[in-house]
Amino acid sequence: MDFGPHLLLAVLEGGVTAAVLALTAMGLSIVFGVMRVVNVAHGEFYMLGAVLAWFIATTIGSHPALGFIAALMIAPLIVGTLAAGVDRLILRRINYDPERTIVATIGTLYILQQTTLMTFGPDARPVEPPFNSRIALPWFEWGENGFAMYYPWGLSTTSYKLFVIAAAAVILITLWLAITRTRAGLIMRATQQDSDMAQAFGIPVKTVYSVVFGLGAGLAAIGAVLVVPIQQAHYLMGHDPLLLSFIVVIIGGLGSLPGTIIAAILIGMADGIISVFFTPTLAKIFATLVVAMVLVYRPTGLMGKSTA
Amino acid sequence: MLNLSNLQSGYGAVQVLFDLSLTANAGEITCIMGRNGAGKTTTLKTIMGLLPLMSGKITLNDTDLATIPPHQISQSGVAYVPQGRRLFSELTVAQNLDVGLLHTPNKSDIREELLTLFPRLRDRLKQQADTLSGGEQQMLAMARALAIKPSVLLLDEPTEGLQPSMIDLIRDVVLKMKAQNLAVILVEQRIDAVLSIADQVVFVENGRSLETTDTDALRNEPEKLHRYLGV
Repeated sequence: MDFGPHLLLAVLEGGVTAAVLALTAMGLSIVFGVMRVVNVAHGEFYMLGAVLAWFIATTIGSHPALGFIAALMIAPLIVGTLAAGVDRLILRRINYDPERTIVATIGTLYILQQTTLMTFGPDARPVEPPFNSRIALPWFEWGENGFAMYYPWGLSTTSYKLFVIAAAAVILITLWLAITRTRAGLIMRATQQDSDMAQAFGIPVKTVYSVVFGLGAGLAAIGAVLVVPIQQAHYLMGHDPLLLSFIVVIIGGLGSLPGTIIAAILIGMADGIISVFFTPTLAKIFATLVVAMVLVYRPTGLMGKSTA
Repeated sequence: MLNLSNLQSGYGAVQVLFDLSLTANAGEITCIMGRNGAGKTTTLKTIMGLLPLMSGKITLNDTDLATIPPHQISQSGVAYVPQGRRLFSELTVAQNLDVGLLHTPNKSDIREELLTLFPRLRDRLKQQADTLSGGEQQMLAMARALAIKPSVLLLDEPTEGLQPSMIDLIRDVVLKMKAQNLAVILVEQRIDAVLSIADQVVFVENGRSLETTDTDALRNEPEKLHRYLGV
């Protein structure tokens, strides 16, 4: 395959990675932005979403689309509720102290991971996509007879991968509208900016924290449900999303939602393109290098604000 | 109205208030005066539930404020204008008002009342709060507090850093609130301002209320200002 079609293929793969990463990292960013909690267990909520998606889809059986839709609706709800429970039972009790919440979420990480292992076993579990037709992609070339379109061999994607990108975009736009245009979003932003003042104006800050922690984990779970028909559900699958989400949130600027989206597209695309042309390991090296450069030259991230 | 009785409070293990009592009546301005670190701001934060009450009692009419969740204190009718304004800086003027109006019925009527009281805010509704001038920020902080339709208004150094015309405007608004039968508790350093609008003054030192005196009596006994404030 020529370089051009090959690059288009890599961009599409990167688009899928960026879409899932944007959802996952957005969850981490919202939690840090509003609660100032570094949630080390975020990757495990992602993993749990994937494993529950497999469990729900196989339990329902029948048509793959039915199982998938049920998984997409139920798994994030369960994960979000569980996370809200973690907030109430653990984080609230340690008063959201920055150091202690890191230790507490590390503990949560292992509890979730080992409970999943003991409950569902160590095997990787596939989930059938609801639809997965192959779509041949056209390429354009300037030839002797002018502009010509043709279908290079191997240049194709699947309808499901395009769905993942579209679904992530719709969810993120909906989330953005909810945060900027609704009463719930106003309450969240007020709490993010000054939790004491929010409380002084009648906002139940602790309840907001529980909802936000649940929402963050729920977003990670949605990303996982979307990706599980492409990858497989496995109890150790939370590490990479956690690392990449942290990278994205740091590059975008801690707590900055637009920064998170931009960084997710940057890192996701780079991951997809480098993985296709070289190796996935090189893609991770690139991402880590970018985060190191950002920390050195722009410690507040692309769109973060200085606290000084 | 609002009664504070033998308050003890502080920041974590650091106790700041040791024995503070005062009563703020409807239609009166009660001023808390004292040197830096005496516990004036701590008193207001404790009333709002932002600091834990170690001991003592805070009652608003017959309601014990210490027994209700902190976020419901404002819904009991206590509004707070903190030192340094503490606006939601990345929200617009309109959104800051919306936060104040969250639990208030007749939102549009009250919003209109507030914009009539502070007409300059009407032109700035879509502007981000941190782009306002100091005076406009103070207007917004007061409008946000008044949006809850309070019966008690807590003001922590509302004229700090403002130009004289803005100080006059804030003073007029405080007097209007008094006329509307609100109980106003004012923390203020400027003695001339206190003497011109307060009905009673509570002197605090090292977290203790030492003396409560009415303003007329204080005008005749300026040595008290020297004794408690060193001026």
